[in-house]
Amino acid sequence: MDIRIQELTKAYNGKIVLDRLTALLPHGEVTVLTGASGSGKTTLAKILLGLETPDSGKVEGMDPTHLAAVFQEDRLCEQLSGTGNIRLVMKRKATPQELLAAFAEVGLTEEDGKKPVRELSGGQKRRIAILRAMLADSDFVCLDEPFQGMDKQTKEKTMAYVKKAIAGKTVLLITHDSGEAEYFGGQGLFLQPTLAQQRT
Amino acid sequence: MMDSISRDKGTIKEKYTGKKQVTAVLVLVFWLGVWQISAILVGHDLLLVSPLDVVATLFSQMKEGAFWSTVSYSFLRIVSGFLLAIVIGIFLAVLSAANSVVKALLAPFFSVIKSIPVASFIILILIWAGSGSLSIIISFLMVLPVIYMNVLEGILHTDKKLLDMAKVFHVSFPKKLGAIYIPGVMPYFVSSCKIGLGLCWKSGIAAEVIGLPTGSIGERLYQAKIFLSTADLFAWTIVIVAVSYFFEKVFLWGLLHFARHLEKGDAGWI
Repeated sequence: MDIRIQELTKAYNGKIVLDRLTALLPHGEVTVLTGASGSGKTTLAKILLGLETPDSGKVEGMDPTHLAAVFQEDRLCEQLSGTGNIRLVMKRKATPQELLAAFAEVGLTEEDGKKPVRELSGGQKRRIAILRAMLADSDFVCLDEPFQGMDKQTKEKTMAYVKKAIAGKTVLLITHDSGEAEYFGGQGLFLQPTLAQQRT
Repeated sequence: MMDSISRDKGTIKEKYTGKKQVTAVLVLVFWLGVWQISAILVGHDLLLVSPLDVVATLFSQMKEGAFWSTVSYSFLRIVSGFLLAIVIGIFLAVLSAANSVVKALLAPFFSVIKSIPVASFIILILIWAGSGSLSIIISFLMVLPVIYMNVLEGILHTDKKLLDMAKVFHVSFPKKLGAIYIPGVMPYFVSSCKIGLGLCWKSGIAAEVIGLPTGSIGERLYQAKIFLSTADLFAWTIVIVAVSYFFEKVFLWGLLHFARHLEKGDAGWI
């Protein structure tokens, strides 16, 4: 089902961040959300993920029980291993082979998956956060600047894995990188501070 | 290369630890020496007994069966109060974190407990409950606010971003508890236990000295005072310090072991 955003308004301390935003996120496709800082990209993501309540307007077509996200920050449990963090969000039991294969696709080793996350580098943590979102049981995935902090080679490898993993899912990709936007294709949604407009 | 570096690091660490232990022993010997010399200079056992006399008294008491039953009597009561305070303190902290009305209702109760002198509590409990359960209740009352406030603080400071992540991914409560809440609260809990362990022994023994429950360490301390036996007084003080130190080490070891178990993510929740 398409996700319909209707007349969404959100303000913080009297400052309007989203002003009557209306948009459509087509089912099973990627929507690339771009815009200047402060234009309400993350606020929109938070509303879609159920972490914020809009002041007015509504969102239709979301199943709040099947969501996944890569947040701006990694939001990993630092004391757990990489696999521990992934298993934490999975409703089904992942086989070690499945996890290993996913790790290999983003350039991580079995050893990386066993270490407590706090011992990993920033780029490794980011890939664990991405794997967590990809392997979770979800219909809608929100990716907020998912490839930040990665070198070119790792980024290309991870982007290829993500493109394969999100096939058939409704995805909102927030990015400032035109290369990423082009790679994932789909429709574009451009936000301006307190003025929203959609282009296709 | 890496092996030799880590071997060197290991050797340096061992040397450092060994040096620290030697320093600690030398400091202990120095102060025992000061005590022994002071006792000789004072020249009166009633005012200041020598460390050698204290050790001799301690060993002679340890040979008696009553010694061990006295130690276990006080140990079981004081530790029971401490453990009960942990269970009830955590329970109330969780309730307060979940419900602001409960938190508001409990706030004056804990302020009162914290500000009332322990001696007032001891006399009040003696009137209400008698001396048999006195040290359990006093130990419980002194530790309860410390555990409650620290655990509540820990829960309220749980990483909100991790909780949002768990909400998005629909992580079950048992998993959230094991992966987010317990590791977040653990440093606050360990710190409150360290404070509570010291408090429970000091207040529990003070309660026994005032309430004089039969067969307790407090009663033996009181008898030492009555018979002006400074050696007995010092010997029982050493016993209290040793038992509380031993229990603190074992308890904190268990807690840290549990925390490490959680860190590995193999505690059964994940």
